[in-house]
Parts: sequence; C-alpha cells; structure tokens
Amino acid sequence: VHIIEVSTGELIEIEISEVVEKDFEIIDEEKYFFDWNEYKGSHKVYKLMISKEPQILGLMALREFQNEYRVEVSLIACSRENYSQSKRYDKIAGCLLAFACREAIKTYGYMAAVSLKPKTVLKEHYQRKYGMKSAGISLFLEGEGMLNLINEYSV
Amino acid sequence: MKSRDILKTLKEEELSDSFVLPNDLTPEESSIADKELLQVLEEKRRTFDETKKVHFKTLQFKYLLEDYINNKNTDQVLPLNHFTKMYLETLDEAKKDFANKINLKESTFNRFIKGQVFNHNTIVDIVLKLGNYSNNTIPPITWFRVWEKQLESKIINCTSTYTDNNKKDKLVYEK
Repeated sequence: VHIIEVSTGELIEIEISEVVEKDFEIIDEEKYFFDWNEYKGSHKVYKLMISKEPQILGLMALREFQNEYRVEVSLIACSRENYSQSKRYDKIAGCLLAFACREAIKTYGYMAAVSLKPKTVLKEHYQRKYGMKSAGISLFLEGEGMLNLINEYSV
Repeated sequence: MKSRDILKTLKEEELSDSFVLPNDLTPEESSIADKELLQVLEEKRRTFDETKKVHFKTLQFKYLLEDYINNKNTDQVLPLNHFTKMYLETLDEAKKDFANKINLKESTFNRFIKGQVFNHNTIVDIVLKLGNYSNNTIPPITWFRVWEKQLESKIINCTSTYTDNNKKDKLVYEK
C-alpha cells in the first residue's frame, strides 16, 4: 500500500493497523483535529503510518453493524501536516477508506458494505472521488464499488 | 489557530480530500438513515449472482491469508493443509470434487489434507494448482508464503544434534 510524497511524486510504502492503548497517549486533538478518545470502545480506530517510521499520518474510526454486514466510517482525519494544499503526503484518506472496504470484505464476504453519513455539502465530493452511491442521507460502497477502491489504492 | 477552527477555513474539496467528518444528525435521524440504507443494500444483495459470490468469498479468504502471513506472532503458526481445508469449507467444495477440478489424484489430495505430504515438488504442484483454481485471485505465491511460514516455524523449533555414527549433523524436530 502506498501514499504519494507530494514534493517528489515518490510512492511511499505504508502500513495500516489498529490503534493500541499506548498510541492514544500521542494522539492529541491539536495534531489530529478530534478527541479520538471518544471513539475508544465503541469503534475500532486505525492508524496509517509509513513503514518503520513512528509518525501517525492519518486516523480512521470504524463502527461495526454486524447484523447489516456493514462497516460505517465515522471519522477520518489526516494529521496536521497532511491536509489542504500544503500537505506533505497525498492519498492518506483514500488509503484508509479502501482499507475499510478490505476489512468489510474480510469480515462479511459478498454481503459486505461500507457506509458513511456525510455532511451534505461534501456528499458530491465523496461520490466523485471514491465512487460512493447515495442511499438517502448515507453514502455507501458495496460489491464492485469496494473492489474498484481497493484496486485503485492497492490495499 | 486551534485545529478545529482550521477545518472551518478549508474549502469543501480540501475537506473531502483529507477528512470524513462527524455528522450532526440526531439519534432519530441517524436511525432513519440506517433503515434507508439497509433497504437499498438488501435490494442490491438480492441481485448478486453465484459467480460474484464465489469471487468475494475467495477475496475474503485471500485477505485472511495475507493477514495471517503478515502477522509476526509465531505462536499461532498453522500448516498449509489447515488453510486448504478452510478454503474448501469457504467455497463449500467437497474434497473429491475439488481434487478433480484441480486435476490432482484424489489419494494425493487426501494425504495432503491430512498433512501427510512432505515431498516439496508435490507441494509446489498443489500450490500452483490452488492459485490457478482461483484465477490467480489468491496467487500461488500467497499459498507459498503460508507454507514458508510453516517451514520457518519448524526450523526455529528444531534442535541440532551430532550423531557419532554418521559424523553428520542430524536435525531433530520437536513434535
């Protein structure tokens, strides 16, 4: 799995894994925009890091809806160095979303789906960027849509 | 500027590029949204054909294998035949039928499933056939990595002793 270093265009190998208790000590609101402690217990929180480097570049909180074979992306945030046009690395959020698709398929097989409840003004952007489909308030990916994202981000 | 305040200054494109933000829905609105979504998903799932189901089951198994291979915890090493058995269960395939489909003698496949095949050429042949059966969705190299992990564990657990009789190192495997 790779992200792109914006200044050089170089592909950088990354790893995504579940956040452990120790990580919460360094995940502060100032650097990662939200209080991620609020998601402890109710969600699985994942971190994206460059292989063999200590910095967390992005975080994602996933909520399981086992009865519906669905994973909901409740929150994604890149670190403070990696948002907007001055970001150092690109494709962090996309990699995390593609990883959510992979986890959903791993857990639920062909029944799997990934969803999010977007802010209304961002809905079209997610649809365009990630090929998400609309179902009322929610956006979702299932079947081919998930595979396309997994392939695009080589997760 | 506080980090939350920064978010207010970003353009929509920049926000969607780096964030999925918490929604402002009430629990009731959220519950209605979930019901709407479930209805759409159930409709979609009804249209899944058998080929698509098998493809997703195969992918599901591939991700499981990849996570197993990448897991550095060596306490939980499982043999290749164990995963092959699981693969058959995932695809709901009988051993006999599967052996025929991958063009392998039923007796050889049975011995392999029981963990009684040690010939490397036979295992390589089976690994190639397993990869081919999934149209390379689970490539032979992934199956090979499972076997490699099994061998690695065996080597770590074995002790070397010297026998006077043949003046050669002999490897003794711990059972």
